[in-house]
Amino acid sequence: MRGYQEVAFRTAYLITGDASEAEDATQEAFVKAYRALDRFRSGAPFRPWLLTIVANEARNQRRSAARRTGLFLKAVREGTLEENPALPDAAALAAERREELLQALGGLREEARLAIACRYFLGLSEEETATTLRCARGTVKSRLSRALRSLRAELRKEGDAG
Amino acid sequence: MQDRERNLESELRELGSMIHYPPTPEVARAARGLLDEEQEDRPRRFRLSLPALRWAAVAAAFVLIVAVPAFSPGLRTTVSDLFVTKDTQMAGGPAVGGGAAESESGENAPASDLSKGSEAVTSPARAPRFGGARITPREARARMGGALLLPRTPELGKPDESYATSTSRKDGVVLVYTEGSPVDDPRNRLVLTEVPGDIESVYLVGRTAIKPKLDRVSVNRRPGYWGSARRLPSHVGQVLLWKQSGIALRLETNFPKERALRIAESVR
Repeated sequence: MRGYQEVAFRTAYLITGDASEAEDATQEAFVKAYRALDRFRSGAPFRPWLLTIVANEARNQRRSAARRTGLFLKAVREGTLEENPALPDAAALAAERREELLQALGGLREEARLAIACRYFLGLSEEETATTLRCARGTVKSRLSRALRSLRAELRKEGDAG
Repeated sequence: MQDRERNLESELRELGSMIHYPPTPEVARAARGLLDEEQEDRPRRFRLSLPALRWAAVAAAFVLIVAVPAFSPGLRTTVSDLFVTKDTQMAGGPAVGGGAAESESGENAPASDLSKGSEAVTSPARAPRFGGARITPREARARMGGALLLPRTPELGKPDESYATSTSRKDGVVLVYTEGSPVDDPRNRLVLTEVPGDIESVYLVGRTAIKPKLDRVSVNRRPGYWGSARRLPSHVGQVLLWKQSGIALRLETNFPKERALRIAESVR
């Protein structure tokens, strides 16, 4: 279990957007997973099974959708928009592009945002993303495809406006 | 823009790789601790459900305490030593009776004893009074209606001892963490008291004058107070008060304020 606590905690953090809620959710999920180990299908991949429980616990800590979106963006923004003093111009440009991308992410529906987070931020496979989010692999594919299309459209709009 | 469209997936991956996540807490160990705690309770239930085993234990105890010593003088000495030790420990252990809040005034709280030798602070005569009778973790949980709150920081582990509070007004529990020290040694110790109610009605009755002198703090966005033993009665040193899930909590510790707050914020 210990080997999975980082990805589990990060999954919960991206869902709750709050470190202490993520810790609560992960701990509770681990307790539930320990108890449910006898129901775990032998030979099945363990990580997505565990992340399903983690994601479920994290969602149980639900707050308002608007707040969750804000926390998600805050969680990502806090760690990514630091300036690079060695390359101030390039860093500023990169930071601007990331900010645009973050704004566009904020406009997505939560299910699409979570699919993006699992697939690209946490590096889960499509299969793992599907298990974690409790949906079919095809659903993940279509969610990601729609999300990327929306992001491109939004970024194009912002580019045209700029 | 063409480039950007092509690279959107790699941009998202890059964005993900740049996220500075908060440090991963030791959740696996904490979860394990909770499960171990549950398992410790389980054998007790098992034993109670099997009267035959209980009778076997009684018979074995009879053989050990009465029958064997009667025939063996050497063993008799050993068993009597065991009982003497036990009695001494009971006498030196936390006293039963006075409520935690009522037991010591600010002037003679153990914080002022810290500069004295260990002999003085561990003397049975100076043993702190934690509250009422010593109880098991299971009884503590039952006393709080199943909602016993515990710090979840791995550094603390499980409470070493539990007591019932003896205030006449409300039920509650006192959990003592000794970190391997003797229970009556105030160094490196932490005492957590839980009583249903509000901070004011449980811990600050008749002490309204000191309220403005306490530091206002936030425990997981809940208002609380932090003060020294001079202002609030304490077995240990500093005191942190806050309310959570309808329970007024008092954490007494010698740890610095930040560490005390971190422990308080892990309570659930």
